[in-house]
Amino acid sequence: MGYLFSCRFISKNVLTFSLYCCIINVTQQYSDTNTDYRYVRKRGFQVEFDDNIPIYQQIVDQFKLQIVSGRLQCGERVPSVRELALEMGVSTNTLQKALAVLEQEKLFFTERTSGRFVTNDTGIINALKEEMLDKELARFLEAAKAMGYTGDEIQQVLSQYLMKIELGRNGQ
Amino acid sequence: MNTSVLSVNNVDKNYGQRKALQGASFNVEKGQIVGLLGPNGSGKTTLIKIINNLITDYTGDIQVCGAPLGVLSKAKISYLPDTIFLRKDIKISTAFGIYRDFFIDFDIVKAQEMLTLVELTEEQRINTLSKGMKEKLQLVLAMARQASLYIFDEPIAGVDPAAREFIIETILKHYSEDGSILFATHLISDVEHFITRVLFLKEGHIILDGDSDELRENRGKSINKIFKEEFKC
Repeated sequence: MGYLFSCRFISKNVLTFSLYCCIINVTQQYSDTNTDYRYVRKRGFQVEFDDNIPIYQQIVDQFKLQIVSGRLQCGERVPSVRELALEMGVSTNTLQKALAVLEQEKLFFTERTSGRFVTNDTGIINALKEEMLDKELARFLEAAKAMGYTGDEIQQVLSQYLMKIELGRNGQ
Repeated sequence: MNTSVLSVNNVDKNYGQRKALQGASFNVEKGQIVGLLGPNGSGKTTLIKIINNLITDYTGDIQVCGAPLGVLSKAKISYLPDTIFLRKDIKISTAFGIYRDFFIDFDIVKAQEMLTLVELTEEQRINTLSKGMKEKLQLVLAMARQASLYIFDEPIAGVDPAAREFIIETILKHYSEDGSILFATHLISDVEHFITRVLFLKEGHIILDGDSDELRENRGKSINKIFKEEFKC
């Protein structure tokens, strides 16, 4: 029990590795251009929904990724519900539900007359970023633990892996 | 005070000995996109024809925006049937004229814009159009109305995947801001993402009525999978 890691206890290498994974992930999504959705392509939204998971939840997660990666910037205006719903091929109701969650988590705020914006509070965004990374790390460590790796072994394997990647990049 | 766009209460309909609908009850609220899902012969078209006042020998009660079926309900509902209903000997412009005369919410400018998008012109005669073109024209006529409720009966059955996508995009783009949609189909995967609510119709009974995302959350699977389980042969 309690194999829970918080960011503080994990070596820098693990963090860097996970960050690297995130970057790969983001660039892969961004370069996926086989969709016709203009906005989606511009923003790098993933419109291939997983049908087994609530759609609104997936939209929330997509927005969070946009925010922490900086593709949606602090104070940036969010397009209208109608526009977004159309681009993602979902109903306005579903989109509204997702936006309500994001507003509740203070990532978006609404100005009565001018529309909806991304929060200006970088503290909230940084906290979200850490939380998202934490979640990825927990998932990764759980998988590694299930395979029988110990904490020390994981650290070792990771630094080797990172070195390999560094070498590969320098070689290019 | 009933605020539902559509309320169906305990509707029964028999074709001779055969029971087509038994105790069908549900409401459609403002802004909902409801998938009326069921295999062939489950009663979808019968239910839709009843709501559109085309079948009148049924029992039960139906209200559209709080009013009983009749002239008022027809003014509120934009209905796209699963058959070609247009007269053959007229031009598209005449069809537009008929719609403008009959439906106060018909936006002829919007219809003309959409017609250009589907690469048709008002001068064309309907008997010169292919089946696919006629279907597109009917879609234009239905979507150029600013209705409270849009009812589609299998609009994507029997067309290729690209045309399906076009039809769905057109519907999502043009339905009026406050409108609701009732979308009958057996092709679940094509509507999976945008229906906010599902109604499963099986042998005339509504066996499931729920919010799409809640169903996914509670059962951990897609509407498509739930459908396959419920209708296993």
